[in-house]
Amino acid sequence: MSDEEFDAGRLDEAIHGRLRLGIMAYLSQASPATFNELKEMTGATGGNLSTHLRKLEDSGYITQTKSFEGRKPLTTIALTDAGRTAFTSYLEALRPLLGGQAAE
Amino acid sequence: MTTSQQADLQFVREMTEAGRGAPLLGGRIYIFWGILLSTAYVFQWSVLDGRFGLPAQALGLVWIGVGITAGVGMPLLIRGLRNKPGRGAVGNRVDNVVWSLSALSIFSFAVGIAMATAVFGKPAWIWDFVIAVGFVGYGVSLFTTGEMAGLKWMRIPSFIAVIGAGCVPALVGQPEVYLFGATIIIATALVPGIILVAGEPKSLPDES
Repeated sequence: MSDEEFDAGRLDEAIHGRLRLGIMAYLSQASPATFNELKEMTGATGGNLSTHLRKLEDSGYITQTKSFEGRKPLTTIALTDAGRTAFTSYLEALRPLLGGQAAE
Repeated sequence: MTTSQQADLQFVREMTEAGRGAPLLGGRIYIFWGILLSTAYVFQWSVLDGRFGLPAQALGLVWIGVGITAGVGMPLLIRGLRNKPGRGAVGNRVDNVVWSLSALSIFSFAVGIAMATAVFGKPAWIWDFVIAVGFVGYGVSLFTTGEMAGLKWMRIPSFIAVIGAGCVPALVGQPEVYLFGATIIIATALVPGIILVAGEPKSLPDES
């Protein structure tokens, strides 16, 4: 067990939430990813995913780039340096709750 | 910890593992180069060995054909990957980077050989050393990509490539060096490519 006490106040509200946390976890390992890739991986609906991506983008944790490949639209989402730092801090904040082991 | 929190953490773990374990997507490119180069090498062996009575100048046409095929084929192959998940995974990014640098190194060496033979009058057989340089590039790229993607089996073709590079000097100047080269390319590009393609995820639908 860790001597550190869990402090819910240290949890970043922008990341906190199942879907946003899942997005950040995936992007921490595979960035950039396409919109459809995140939709497939998280199992979220397009509308729900867009809403949560916007929240993460507003916090500066991800960037969304809209482009075309041929005539097909393509949205690419990338984790920013600030996002990576925030995600690491979030996991650190969770560590006491997990008995000293941060989620990998 | 509540059941809901445990479920959320499990979800995070699954998402992390999905990103980390994304399959390599370069299999089709390995197959493309495996077929293209082994065919070119077999042709080169047949010309140098006098099998079809073709002049040595035919080799220039073969390699121009390889360049054109690669120039047309590679963009099409890369375009076909656009809807595959996991392109941003570490293994796929490393695969892209190390093979790009290997290809550049092989090309640079080939240009150097072309200059040496055409301008400085060096013997034509020094072209054979391009095969060895290529195999070093294959070995380093396969090993690095395999380690980063967690695919230990890729060590086998990487070692075959490196050992193959060491064998080339003994065969330099003989047409058989190209048959040997074709065999190694099949083992280190075509076969790994087929294995990787078999493990590729399906393409996702286009964005609406």
